[in-house]
Amino acid sequence: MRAQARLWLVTTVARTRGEYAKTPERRQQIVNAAVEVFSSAGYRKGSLRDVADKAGLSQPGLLHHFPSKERLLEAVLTWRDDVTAQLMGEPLPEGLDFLRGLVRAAEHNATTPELVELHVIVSAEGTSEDHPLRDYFVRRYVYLFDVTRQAFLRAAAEGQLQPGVDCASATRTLIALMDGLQIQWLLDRDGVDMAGDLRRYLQPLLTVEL
Amino acid sequence: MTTRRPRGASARTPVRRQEIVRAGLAVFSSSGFHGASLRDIAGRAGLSQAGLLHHYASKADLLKAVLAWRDDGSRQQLGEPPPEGLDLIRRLVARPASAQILELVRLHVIISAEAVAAGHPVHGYVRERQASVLDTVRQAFERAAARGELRPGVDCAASARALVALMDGLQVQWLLRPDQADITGDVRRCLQPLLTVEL
Repeated sequence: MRAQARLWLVTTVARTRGEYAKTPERRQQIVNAAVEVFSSAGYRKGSLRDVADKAGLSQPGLLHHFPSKERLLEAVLTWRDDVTAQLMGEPLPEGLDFLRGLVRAAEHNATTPELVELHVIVSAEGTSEDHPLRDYFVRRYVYLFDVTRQAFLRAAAEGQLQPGVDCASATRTLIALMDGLQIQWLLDRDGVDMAGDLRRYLQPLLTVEL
Repeated sequence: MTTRRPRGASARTPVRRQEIVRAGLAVFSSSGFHGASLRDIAGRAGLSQAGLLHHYASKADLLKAVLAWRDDGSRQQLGEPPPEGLDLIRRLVARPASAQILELVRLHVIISAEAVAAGHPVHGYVRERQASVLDTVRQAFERAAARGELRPGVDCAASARALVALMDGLQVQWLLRPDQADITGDVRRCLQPLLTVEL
């Protein structure tokens, strides 16, 4: 499963003409700067110039690593995915432990509202047919679906799911709840407990403690 | 309070405004507020940009008008007076298919996500709408509970949050992978175990 945790990263990073392999530290510095700029100014107001300044680069220097704001955004979101994957455990857990990991990730998300906001906004924009990040989001969804469905199937095989639970439907439902609750939480942080609501959905599907 | 008509307002004005709202729906639903251009919207409505601004003073005003039109449509669809309790929930779940549904879903998905940002022109509207929708759905669950249609121990506020989140999230999936989605089936599978009666 270690390979799968990497897959989350590798399948979603857009590599630009071999630069990535040579300069991973530089890229990571830029991503860190972008996280700070986009988190404080919002990604629309946060400019590539601000990111370049913070990373100690000229704007052409930054464009050498990330040819557009969209590619930089994609790198930021991919970095966030990677942090989440690490948080869930290395190697990435399977079965019920994976589902527990998703709930933990929701708990962690509640400590990083700026990144959740960035993800929510950009992923909605990415549903447009012609959005430059549409491919990234579709691939991410396909991967997330696949790995979550595998987790439900594994839990079922181990007798941890109530009989009759439809694993494909439970997968769609869990992911939809995560997405929908993020929006509710961003609009009302005191009134919504994302992890609590996910547990409330998952527990009745299980024969064991979540 | 009197409504001041814009200069040159005529009998054609309501029709014109309706055409602009339709054009706004088409463009906002695919590009969101930030990505939408007034020029595109005006072009679709067969107007110059100045002509459009004569009816709606800004892009933000037009977006508000599109959302108000959407909300009117939703209210009409629910009926007057709106159903209560489980009937309201049934009505929400069985979303009618219409030629416009794709645009309306897109509009909802993109605007409610964009508007989580505090500076967005409809941030306040989206917050209030969420609070009001959650309130309405919670009351419907409470009504159902009072009628003995909910299993004991079901948390009405949490169920309202979950139902609204689920429908929002499933709509995103439907936009990304329409062939894999089963919105009504998924919602039913989620709701039925909470109930003592058929959904």
